[in-house]
Amino acid sequence: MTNGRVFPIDRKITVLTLILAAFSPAAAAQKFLKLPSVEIFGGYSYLHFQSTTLGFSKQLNMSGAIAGISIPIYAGLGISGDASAHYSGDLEAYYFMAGPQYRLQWRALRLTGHGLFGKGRSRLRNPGTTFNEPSTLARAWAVGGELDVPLRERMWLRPLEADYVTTSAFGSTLHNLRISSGLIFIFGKH
Amino acid sequence: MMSQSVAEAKIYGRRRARVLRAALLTTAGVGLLHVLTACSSNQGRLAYVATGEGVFAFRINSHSGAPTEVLGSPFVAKTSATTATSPAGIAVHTSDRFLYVTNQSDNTISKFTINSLSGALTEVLPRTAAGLGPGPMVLDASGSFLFVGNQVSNDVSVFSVGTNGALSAASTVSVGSAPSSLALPSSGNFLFVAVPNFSAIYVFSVSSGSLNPVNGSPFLLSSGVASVGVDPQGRFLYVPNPSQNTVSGFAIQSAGGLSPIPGSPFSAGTAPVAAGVDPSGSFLYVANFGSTNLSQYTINSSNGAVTPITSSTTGTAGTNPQFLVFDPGGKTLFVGSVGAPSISQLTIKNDGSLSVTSNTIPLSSVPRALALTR
Repeated sequence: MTNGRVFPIDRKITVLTLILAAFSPAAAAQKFLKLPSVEIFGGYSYLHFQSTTLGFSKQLNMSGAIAGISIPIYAGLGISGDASAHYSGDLEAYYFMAGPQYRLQWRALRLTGHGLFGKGRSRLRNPGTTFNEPSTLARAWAVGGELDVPLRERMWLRPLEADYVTTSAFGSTLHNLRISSGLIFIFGKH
Repeated sequence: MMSQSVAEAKIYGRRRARVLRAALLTTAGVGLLHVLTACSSNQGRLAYVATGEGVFAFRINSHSGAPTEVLGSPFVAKTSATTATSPAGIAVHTSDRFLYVTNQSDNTISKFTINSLSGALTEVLPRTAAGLGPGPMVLDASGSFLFVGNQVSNDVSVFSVGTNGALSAASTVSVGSAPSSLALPSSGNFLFVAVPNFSAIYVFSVSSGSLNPVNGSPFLLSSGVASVGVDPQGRFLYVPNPSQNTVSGFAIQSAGGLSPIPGSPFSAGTAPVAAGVDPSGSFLYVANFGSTNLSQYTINSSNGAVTPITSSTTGTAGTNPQFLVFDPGGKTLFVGSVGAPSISQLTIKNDGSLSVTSNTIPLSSVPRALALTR
């Protein structure tokens, strides 16, 4: 036999719970948010630069360095940012970007995808005899991901980070590929 | 204890294997990129256009012919921090390492080095003194001598070219009035100079950088002279006659003399100003400044007589065509137009007829001359 008043009482409890949850951000934060750990990444970076759009006879393969930071926030979500510099005999390219990331753990491996937005500077190292400014700073964005493997508790290896980087330079839109590799050091709660 | 060491060894072994796999993955990725790089290169030749603003540079896609302006273009030889010299003539050395430009505002010749990767030009100072008002120039096929027409001092200067591209004055000969164009067949044994004010063609034999007039030079034409065009084999010479709307043809004798070709002069468009023979020596093209089109002919290889191709004229993308330049492969004709400043590209079909492509290069300044790398 069912009491006709049971259902309304349950509904009230549910509503009350939701209201309490909605007005208790501190409690919610304690429940859902991790205290941040900070991951610092540094290493080698290679850039496949679409220089034929700028009149070069071939695409440039540029070497350089990358430094990045990522902060896990909630579950797999986090934010990341990086700065990279790449050089060839004729051109330099710099990127400063940040954006959201999402991370998956698979056994000991971590797979992370990210979308980054920021600025890119391209500079001609041998501009020749010209009146034109050999450097431009323009918007840049990137989508990509990385694979991490553990070496020690607070030191991981990132054998591969790949990013499709789009930027404007000298009035043209360039589509580049960035490949990076290096070490990650983890600070804070882990 | 023993089992713990074995377990640790297994753990480290697994880690090493993971690291190795990751390293192999990275290597494969970089290798793939290098393959992509090889496939995506653009080995097209470079086109340099002399204008009053400086030298505009373009990379011409070897497949599509599409031009891409080189970063930093236009390149300038400066007379002050912000002022360009006034480039008039232009020539690329046969090595593709150097570019020469005549500067009419300071009566010099600039040497630029060509960055083969980026196409950028860097001037190498000091400049070489030329005559007054240096304009048209031509290099011999071996890249050993540079010939420059001086349009104010009314003479032709010859410079020897060193292994590093440096120029040294070799000789100078007078032509009495302003030379409008120079032509040198691939054999390099004769230099032809057009002098419109005298309606004359000067012919010089060339020997180790010295010029000697051949018997009968200068050759006078009653129909007027705009410029000269010689076939690469050095058999025939063609001269546009702007006042008569015709083109005169001459057979080049072994000693350099000129004899009229049967049927010459040949009908052309309105105010023809430039004539060019394609690298195969089979076709003649004439730029008609007034009618803004090109006349096109087949050349009789035995006597040089020309016959209009069925579609006898082709329009250009620009207006008022002024000069013609062939790509070394003989597949494309570049036309410099001064009315609407531009360089048009026309494809040379097997039968010699021309078709306009969409690969026009618009310019902000009037083109005066064009040179291509090989």
